[in-house]
Amino acid sequence: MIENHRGILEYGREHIVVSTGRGKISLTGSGLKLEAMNKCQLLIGGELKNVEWE
Amino acid sequence: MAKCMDRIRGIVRAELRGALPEAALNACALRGVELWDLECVDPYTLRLTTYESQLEQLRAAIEGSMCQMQVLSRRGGSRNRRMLRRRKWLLLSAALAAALLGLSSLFIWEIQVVGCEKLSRGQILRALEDCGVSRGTYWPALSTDLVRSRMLTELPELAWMTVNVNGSRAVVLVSERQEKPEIYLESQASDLVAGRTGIITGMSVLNGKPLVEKGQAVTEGEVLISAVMDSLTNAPRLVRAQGSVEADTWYELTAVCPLEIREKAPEGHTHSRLALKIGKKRINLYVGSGKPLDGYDKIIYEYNLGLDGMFALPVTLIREELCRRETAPAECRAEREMERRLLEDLQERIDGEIVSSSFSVSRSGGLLLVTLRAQCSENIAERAELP
Repeated sequence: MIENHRGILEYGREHIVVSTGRGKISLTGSGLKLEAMNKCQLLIGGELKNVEWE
Repeated sequence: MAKCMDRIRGIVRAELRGALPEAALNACALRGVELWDLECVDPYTLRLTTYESQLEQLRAAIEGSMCQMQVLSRRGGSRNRRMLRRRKWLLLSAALAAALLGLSSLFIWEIQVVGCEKLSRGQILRALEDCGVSRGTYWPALSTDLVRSRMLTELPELAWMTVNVNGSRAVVLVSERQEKPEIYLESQASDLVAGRTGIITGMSVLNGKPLVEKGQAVTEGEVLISAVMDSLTNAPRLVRAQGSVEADTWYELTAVCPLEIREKAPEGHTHSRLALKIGKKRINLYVGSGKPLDGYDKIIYEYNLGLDGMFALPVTLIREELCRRETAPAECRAEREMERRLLEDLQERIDGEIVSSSFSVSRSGGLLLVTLRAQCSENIAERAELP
């Protein structure tokens, strides 16, 4: 779950990049999926291998 | 429950296709469109689910994001409403059924009795009916305190009771009165005498003067522990003798049964018939209800309609099973049963245990005689009040 996001920059099954306003969160894994999304929250499912703050 | 609510609101599965589907998602999020179950088909295609009521917002959001939207499927919502609009009678029937269900839940249609041991369920139900609680009673007008007070007056065997109404089901919790123990005066002098002839195998004297000893044979009525206590310095004093006297005793019990009896034999012709009980009104679902049923055994099964533990409907399905039986002469084959009953009878009579037993069976004068001979070990001390 990611709160207070500013949007999705990239979306794929193995790589998702989320903008947070102060930077980007890069999620890497397999079978990644956006389970739910609204203005403030993001719920991401799947097998996470790496989370990077850029 | 959440799925059910989604079906009522209506959900739409849509596909977004374009150069930047992520931009479309962000635009949707900014406009407050709720999205879930997002599936990435390829880098240019996304599938998502949203509420039907937010579909127009979704269309508006993706307009400026170089994407096209295609609705793949719709579930519930306006589709269901259109379907129900076409089926007005179905909707009306469902509303009527819900209203009737709500109305019927204001009446008691099932009474459950919990906690009765000595009193029968029928006795309690009859007393409840006299107190105004029966099938079809309007429960909001019931006063549990009043019912309790009247029930305790009607049935003195009850120590406490209450009625809990849950929907159309009334649960009657009862607690029966405990019997008072024997109350005696310490000052009332009494002997302990032999209640049966036997040979003493053990004694335990708590108060009084023992007049017999272990190994001695005693006859019925003989004083075992006397109330008269001797004193070296004063006159004899009277006490209440207390103790137990174990003895070997012997019993001979006989049971008699006619050799030839008439017993019911099933003729093999069985049929069932159904009836409905709505409230207190019974509707027979068969013809010929006035036909006499002589020679038939009738077994009644009742099935209350409703959801167990939630609510009960005022409808009971009754199934009557009718089996024609004829009585025919037959040889008495009750030896084993008579032996069992004799043993039970003996066990009830004695305050101890049966050490050994044997049976003998004889037939004479058209009668079957079963005799039980048993040796028992029991407490033979019985109280005999002094005048």
